[in-house]
Amino acid sequence: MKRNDGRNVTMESISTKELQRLLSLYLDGALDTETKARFEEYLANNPDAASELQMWKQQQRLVQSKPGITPNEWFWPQLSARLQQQKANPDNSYPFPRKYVPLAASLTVLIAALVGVMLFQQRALLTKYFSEKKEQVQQLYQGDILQGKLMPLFTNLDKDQVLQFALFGTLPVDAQAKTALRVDESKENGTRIEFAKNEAEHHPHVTVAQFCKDIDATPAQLRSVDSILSTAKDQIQQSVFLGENKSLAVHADLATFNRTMMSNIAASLELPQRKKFKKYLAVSGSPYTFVIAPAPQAPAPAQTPRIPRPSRMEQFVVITPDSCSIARVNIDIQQILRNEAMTTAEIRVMNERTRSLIRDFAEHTRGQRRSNSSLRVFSGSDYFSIKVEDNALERQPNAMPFEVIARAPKAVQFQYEMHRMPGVPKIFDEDAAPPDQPDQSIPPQSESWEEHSTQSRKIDLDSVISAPRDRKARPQVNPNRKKYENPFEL
Amino acid sequence: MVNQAVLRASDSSLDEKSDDVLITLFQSGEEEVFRILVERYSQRVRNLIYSIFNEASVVDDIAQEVFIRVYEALPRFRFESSFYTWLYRITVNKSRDELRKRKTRKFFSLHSMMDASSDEFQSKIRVLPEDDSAKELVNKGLQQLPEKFRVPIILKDIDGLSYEEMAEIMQCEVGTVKSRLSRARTMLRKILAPLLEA
Repeated sequence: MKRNDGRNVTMESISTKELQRLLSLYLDGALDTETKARFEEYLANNPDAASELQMWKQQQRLVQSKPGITPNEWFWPQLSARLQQQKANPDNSYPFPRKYVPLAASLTVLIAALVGVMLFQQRALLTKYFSEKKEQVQQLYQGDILQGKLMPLFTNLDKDQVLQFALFGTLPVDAQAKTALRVDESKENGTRIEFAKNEAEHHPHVTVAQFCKDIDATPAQLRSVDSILSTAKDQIQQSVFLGENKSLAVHADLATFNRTMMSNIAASLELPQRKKFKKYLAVSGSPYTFVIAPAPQAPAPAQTPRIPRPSRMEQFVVITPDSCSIARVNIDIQQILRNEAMTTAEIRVMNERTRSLIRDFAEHTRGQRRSNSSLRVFSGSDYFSIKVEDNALERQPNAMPFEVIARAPKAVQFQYEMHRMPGVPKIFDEDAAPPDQPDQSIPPQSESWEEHSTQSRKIDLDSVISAPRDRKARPQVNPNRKKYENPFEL
Repeated sequence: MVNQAVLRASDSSLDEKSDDVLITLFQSGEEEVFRILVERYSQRVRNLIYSIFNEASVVDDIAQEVFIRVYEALPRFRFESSFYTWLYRITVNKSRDELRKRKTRKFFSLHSMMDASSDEFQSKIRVLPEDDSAKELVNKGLQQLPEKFRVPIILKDIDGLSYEEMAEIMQCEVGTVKSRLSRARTMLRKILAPLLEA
């Protein structure tokens, strides 16, 4: 008998594996005559091997007797249908025969690998390119808009002016020119920023001392209010910047900041003082009011929530003599504030620059019509108002313990709305309605406000606030009131 | 080369023609003869697939894919092997593809069943070999084998092919076929030992 390797082996020395191979071949009748005879002799002398052969035969019979699957008489019709479908819609969406698919796939992989290797080899150049591009964009972004040294516009506010801002949304910009910055934000009207003249004449002058006296604030409440105003003063200082190239950046959140301040002042008071505060707002002619809750909705915060100042690009409304835009600008506020205090000369230059910017921008925008979906600008000879659409700004929600709202839909009126200005052009939005209000014959302010404020008629002023001023009428400008002081003029 | 004119004249007797004649007709445009080839071999192909998978539900799908592949490739058939072995090779390859796709081979574990000591199972393995339950056990035993050992047993013991035909279908040497067949039978012998020795 021959093994697989061709050597002759005796049946006595057969291994189990060899026996299995011989059994399999014997079963299939594949042994040659000589080997078959010797194997049969071996089987005759080895009952165990013979028994194993019987087992293999029985196993083979079992496998052979395995039933097949039931015939399917619909096989051809089904196959024929699939073949027809195959002919109608050949399953080949490639622009070449299917047999070339492996080749095409290989080529694709090869090309991708080559591109990858090339990119890897040129990574230094690519990194440099993208880095330069980023820097270029950054420079274009910031450089063109806010060139040169930035200076905070409101560095010298006092707390009375901060309180004025909380109650009326106005900040004095230039006492000499009687110019003020005025802001407002509401769901109905969006965000508005205005640089207007004689703005202060529309509101009574308020002082912190008088305010606290009028609402009968306790010493603790006085400290709370003082703390809120101090914090707010710092925040306002970090919200408006003047660039060296006569550009002005107003933080987008400043427009809501006055209401937030007012809400937090209200939250720092007890219910009796809060009621008086609300009446004070009505008497003083503030365009805002708030809803008095029977009990504080939340613990009164000690400080006004800060305008978010993370170290990231933040949204500013940026005004230059010939443009107005919303831009994300990364201003290193801490670095700016670390600079030495401005000299008198610098402050004068800044005042002049501000006046010039307002004048130039107002002049530039008069008579022009441009489209801008985010901004609408209304300008007069020496003022301008910017209205920002709601969806143009991304705001961090400021928590308001008490909801501060306008006393009436039209209570917060900006100059372009309050005065008959038939010649005032509207720019940046050709489709928007011109600034002609339904009632162009603007009534005296007192009528207008009382007309829109039902609450103001119900106030018993004498019983509420024992202020020395005449409070029978709507808030009148106190002729002896303290004028705005220009924080930049020494 | 077959005389096509003669063939067309005797269409009625196409069923009796050899595979090679029918393929020649197909290659010359007489696609209708494909039906005869399908009807001649569909049941064998289906049985082969059934033996490999032991699942009736997949048989017709795979068998149809096999014949679609045959239909597409038949124009390029070069008569270097018999149609029968060529068809079987396609069938085995398609089955391998399907098994590869599945990845999961959750075959019934006969070993675990053998370990069971329930009376019900003991009664099953002691039945006569001709009993249906015994055949079912053989089926499941076959499924226990890896595909490369299962196919040789099916081709040899069920389809009765020669070693040479098996080598052609399995695309390997005859010696490999013998070796695999021997190992497959040994493995199956161990699996079916309780049944065979009962």
